[in-house]
Amino acid sequence: MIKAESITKCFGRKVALDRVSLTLDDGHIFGLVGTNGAGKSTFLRVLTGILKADSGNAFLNGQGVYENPSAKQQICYVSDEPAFVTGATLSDMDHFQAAYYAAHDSARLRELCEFFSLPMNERISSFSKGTQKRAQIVLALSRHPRLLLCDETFDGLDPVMRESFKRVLGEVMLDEQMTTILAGHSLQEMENICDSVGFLHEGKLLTSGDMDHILSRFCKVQVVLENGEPNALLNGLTVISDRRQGRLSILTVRADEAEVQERLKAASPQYLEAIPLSLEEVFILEMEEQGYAK
Amino acid sequence: MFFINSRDKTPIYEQLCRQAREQIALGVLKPGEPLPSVRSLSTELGINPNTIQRAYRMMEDEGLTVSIPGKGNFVTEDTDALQQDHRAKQCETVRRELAALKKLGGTKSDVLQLVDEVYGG
Repeated sequence: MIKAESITKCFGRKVALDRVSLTLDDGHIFGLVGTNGAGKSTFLRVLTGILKADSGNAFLNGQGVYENPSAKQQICYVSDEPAFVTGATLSDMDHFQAAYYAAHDSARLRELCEFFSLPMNERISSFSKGTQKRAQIVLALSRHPRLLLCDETFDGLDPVMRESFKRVLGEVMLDEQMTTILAGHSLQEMENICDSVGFLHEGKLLTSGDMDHILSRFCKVQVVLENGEPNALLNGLTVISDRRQGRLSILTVRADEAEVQERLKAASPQYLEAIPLSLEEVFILEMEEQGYAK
Repeated sequence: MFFINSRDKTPIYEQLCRQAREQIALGVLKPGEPLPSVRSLSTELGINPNTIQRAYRMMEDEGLTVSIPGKGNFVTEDTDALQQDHRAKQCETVRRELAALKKLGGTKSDVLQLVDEVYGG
C-alpha cells in the first residue's frame, strides 16, 4: 500500500505541493493528471524517496520512503527525462542494476528487450527519444518494483508500443500486485487504463477517486421541454453552462447524471439525452471552475 | 469473443458485460462454456486486469456466468431464462421505436409491411 500524508514541498517561495494526501492499494493503476507546473513530477520525486518533503510523509507498506534504501529497492521512477550511465548499453545497465538492486532479474530484462524490440548491445544514447523511454520501461520492470512511477511515459511512446506497455503492465499487476502511478496528459489512454485518478493543480490534489466516481462529477444533457425552463428544474444544482440551439438546451451540471435525468423527466420533456463526458472533458471543466485559462 | 470499442464512451467493463449478454442470448456463447482467463484477456486486449475482474463480477451478479474458484468463469447452464429476458428487452426496444415511428406519422400499414419483410408475408 502506498500512502502520502499531507505532503508539502516548497522551492524558495513557490509552493510546489500543498498538503497532498493519497492512499493507493496494491495492484492498482492510478492516473495523476495535472496542468503544466502543477507539481506532478515533484510529487513523484517525493514518493520515490529522493526528495525530502518540507512536511508530511510518504510510505510504502508502512515504511517511510525518504532516504530509506530498503523502500527504494522496491520503488522505480521512470522519469520524464531519461538518464543513463554515459555511453552505456542495455547490457551495461543490466550489470549496473544487478549491483544495486537485489530483485534485478537479468533473464527478465532480456525477455523484455526482445518483447519491446530493443538491441542490448547498442549505446542507449544513440536511441531515439521514444526508444529511450522503452529502454527505461524495460529496465524498470526488470527490477520487479512494488511501485512504478511513470512521468509522462505514455506521451512519448508510439501507439504500438503503448499497447505493448499496457499488456506487460497487466501481466505484472496480476503476477506481482505492482502498483503504478501514471502521470501525464494522455487522458484518453488514462481513462481506459486507470482504476482511479486524481487532479493536481497548483500543488493541490483537487480531487481523487475511482474513475467512475470522477467521471460522474459532471453531467451533460440535451433537453427540449414543452414549456418551462430546464434551469428551474435543476434548482439547487450548480449549472455550469446553459447553451441554447433553437428549442434545444444543452446543459452542463455539476451533479450525477441520474439525479439530473430524474429532475428533467419530471417535466415530461419532448426530448432528453445524456451525453457521456470523457475524462478529458471532466478535467477541463474542473480546471475552468478553478479559473485556469478558459 | 470480446472486443473494446474505443469510440464507445460506455465503460469497458460494461461493454464486456453487454457483449456477454448478447452472445449468450444469440447462442454464440454456449451454456457451460468457459470464458477467457483474466490474464489472457488482459494481455490480448491490453486492458487493466482489474477492469476484467470487474466485468466478470458484473456478469456473475447478472446471472450470466458462474465463477468457480481456481477454475475460472463459465457461462451459466440456464441460458433459457436469459434468452427469454433478452427477447423481452428486445420487444421493449421495438415497442419504443414503433412509438417513435408513430410520432413521425408512420402508419399501421407501414409497420405491417416491415413485419412482412422480416417474417415473410
